Amino acid sequence: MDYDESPVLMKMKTVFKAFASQPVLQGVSLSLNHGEILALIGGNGAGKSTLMKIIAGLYKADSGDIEIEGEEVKFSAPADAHKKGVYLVPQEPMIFPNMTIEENIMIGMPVPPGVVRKRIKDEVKRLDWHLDTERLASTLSIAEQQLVEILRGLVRQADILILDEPTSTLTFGEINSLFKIVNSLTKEGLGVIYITHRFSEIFQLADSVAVLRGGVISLQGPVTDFTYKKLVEALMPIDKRSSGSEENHHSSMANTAMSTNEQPILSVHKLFGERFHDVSFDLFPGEILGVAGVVGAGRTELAEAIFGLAPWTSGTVTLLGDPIAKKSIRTRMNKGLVYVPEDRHSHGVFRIASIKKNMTSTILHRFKSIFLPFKKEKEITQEYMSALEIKSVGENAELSSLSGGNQQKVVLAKYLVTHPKVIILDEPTRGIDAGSREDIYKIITELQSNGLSVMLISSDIEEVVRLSDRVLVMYEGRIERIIKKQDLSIDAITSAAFGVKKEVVT
Amino acid sequence: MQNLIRYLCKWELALVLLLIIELIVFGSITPGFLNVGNILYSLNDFVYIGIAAIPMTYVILTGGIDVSVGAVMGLSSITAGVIWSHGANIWIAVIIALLATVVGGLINGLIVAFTGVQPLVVTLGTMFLYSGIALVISGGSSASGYEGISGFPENFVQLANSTILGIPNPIILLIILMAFFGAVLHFTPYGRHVVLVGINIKAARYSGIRTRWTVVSTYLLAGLGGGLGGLILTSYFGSARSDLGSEAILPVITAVVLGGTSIFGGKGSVIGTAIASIVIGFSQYGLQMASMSSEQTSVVIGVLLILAVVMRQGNWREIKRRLVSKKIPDNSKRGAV
Repeated sequence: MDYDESPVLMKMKTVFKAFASQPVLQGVSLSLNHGEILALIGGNGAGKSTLMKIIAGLYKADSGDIEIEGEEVKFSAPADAHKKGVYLVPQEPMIFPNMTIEENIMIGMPVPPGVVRKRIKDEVKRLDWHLDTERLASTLSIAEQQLVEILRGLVRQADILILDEPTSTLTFGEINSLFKIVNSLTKEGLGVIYITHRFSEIFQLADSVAVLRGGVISLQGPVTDFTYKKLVEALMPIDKRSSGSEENHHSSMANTAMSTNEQPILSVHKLFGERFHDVSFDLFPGEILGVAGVVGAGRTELAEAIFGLAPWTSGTVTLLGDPIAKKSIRTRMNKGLVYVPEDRHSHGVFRIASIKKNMTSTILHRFKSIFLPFKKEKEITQEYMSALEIKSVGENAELSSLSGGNQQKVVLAKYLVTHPKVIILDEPTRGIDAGSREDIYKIITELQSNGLSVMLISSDIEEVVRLSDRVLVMYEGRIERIIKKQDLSIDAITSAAFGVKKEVVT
Repeated sequence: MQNLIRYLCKWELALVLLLIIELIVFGSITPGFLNVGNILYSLNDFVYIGIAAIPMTYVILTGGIDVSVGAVMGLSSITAGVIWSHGANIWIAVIIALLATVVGGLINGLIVAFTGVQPLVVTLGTMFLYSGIALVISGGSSASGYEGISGFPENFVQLANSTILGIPNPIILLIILMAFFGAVLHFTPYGRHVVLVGINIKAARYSGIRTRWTVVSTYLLAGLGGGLGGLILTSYFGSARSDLGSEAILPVITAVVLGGTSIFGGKGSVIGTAIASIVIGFSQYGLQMASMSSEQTSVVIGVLLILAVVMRQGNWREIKRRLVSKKIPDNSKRGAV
């Protein structure tokens, strides 16, 4: 490939993007050179995926320019981006299992099959891969699937490869071979944008680093200019830098007087599962235990296992002194354990049912009469609607007519009507407006003062710091650190969430 | 809820209106059609559709489908006939036949709930299985498929052929079933579970609802409905055959869908199903009166089914968009990154 004229492969200037008036990207400028591996990091919700989807033509930017090889481009579909040599390898490879590798690569290419076949052969040979392209995709390991995804991009003559957390599903050996391939590709002039949560990979692989925070690139430069500490700092919100510890006096200290001899209400001991390993912790009555970590750290999987939605492979969970491994979800709920799911739309709500039907869905089996006690049902619903300040025309309003915040309150109410003792909240404030967010914080602290134990899973670190009595930080499926109230700061959580060892930070 | 009631009422009223129009049209085509006696007794000819369709409403409410219900009808008919012909009391034979259909429904439900295979595929398979078993049973008693077993005791034949207060018994059974299944659906925790599972089975599971058991139970009831329908037909014709009800599946599913139940689940009404089954029955009967063949009436039912689905569930905005826009953007490869 010739790139003698200019080293700059792609350049984006002041790209803006908002979803439903919620700004995500607020003027991102970024450039990528030929042969460069640019690591892009950022917290959950920083806008990494949005940015990459704009480059790959899946989203349109509200404003801003993108130039590729000095030429301004406007993509309206991924096919346009492919034509300009931009190819996004998604986090989870999207492979059709019942087709051969070759067919998978050829799909959607407006080029005669013979030509593509030749190109595939050439690419495979050039990179010295041992891959039989006649194999069925269903026989491939995840790493091989990722190779096929990269091949897809190369056969489309991509100049810019975007890898979205490619190593999150790979084993150690697979990661090394992936790195080798990425390195050999860049030698030929390809530019790679590499999204990752793992700092070690940045120093191992990347030439330069860009940090996306709050919708702007807060820092960009050659990797040699950076240290772990500097990266952690760049990830933190500007006004919160190294002042996190002052934040955590909000939540009521009165309830945090946990004497050490108190019995834990929920106790997890050496729990192993597919996405979490060797997890042990105790939850005490009246405690809010924050659970922090990056997306994919295994927090939701852990919570779902505790609630009984998925089995764990070994270890024990005891609730009020009884092991609950063999118990059904309903029995766990009857014993006082509930889980408020992360994905409100697919796991939380019954969209076309009324608020009332949503709220009582968890307690229908507790009505002992043959017929539903409609009056009681209505009273319960109205009680919780006023307690949680759910705004709607009445208990019979269809759930889909409510705002996101009010829907979330209904989901919360649906589990509160069971009178739980332990409540696991998974991202309780994701995607809701600021007003409802404050309401939900208020509800959480009220629950705590009523003696409930709360496990608060959240990617919003400020939220975790503000509400929690203790914070458990997960990284790659393990508990990286348990941070006590007095040591709680945004700093401490961020560095643990990105797997940075304590001594590096302090 | 009030909106929902108003909406349902509107649809059910529309069905009643459709029924009246239908009767008037057939009345003008066929002289003597509009006669109370004729109408009541012709109901007997197709009441089995409603009997099978009412429990089927539950299956479709959960987002499933059971196409084996026609085969179950034949199975119940021939089972009762063969057991009786071997000397058992007819009522014991009937109970065993009903148990067989419950087991058939249970098998459907267990496979659907525990394997995750699409209900259509599962019940298509069991449809062949059950009609095969029915044939084997009928062969075992040397009763050929078309002659069947006849000569049942009078009190069994009278079950479907006599009246109470001038109303034929099968119609009374239909009304009882409608009231029972309607009440269970709208007024009991179980009925609410069925609806919630149909709206969002994952959310139902996260709510501690026993979703698998709920799904299994609906197939069990659908099997029972098929069994009742098959036995009513057996009594009505006075003969047991293995292929009884083999053409019932199309009108049964049409009745549920025309009755206002969403094929995606979560929304539906038993009363709508009952009225729709009568609408379909009369259209079959009336068209036959107007000397149409049963193949030709199938064309009409098919059209009715498609119209009902399109009218009730068609995504009009999407259809319009597709018609208007010339090119659909190519998101096939990277649709959900």
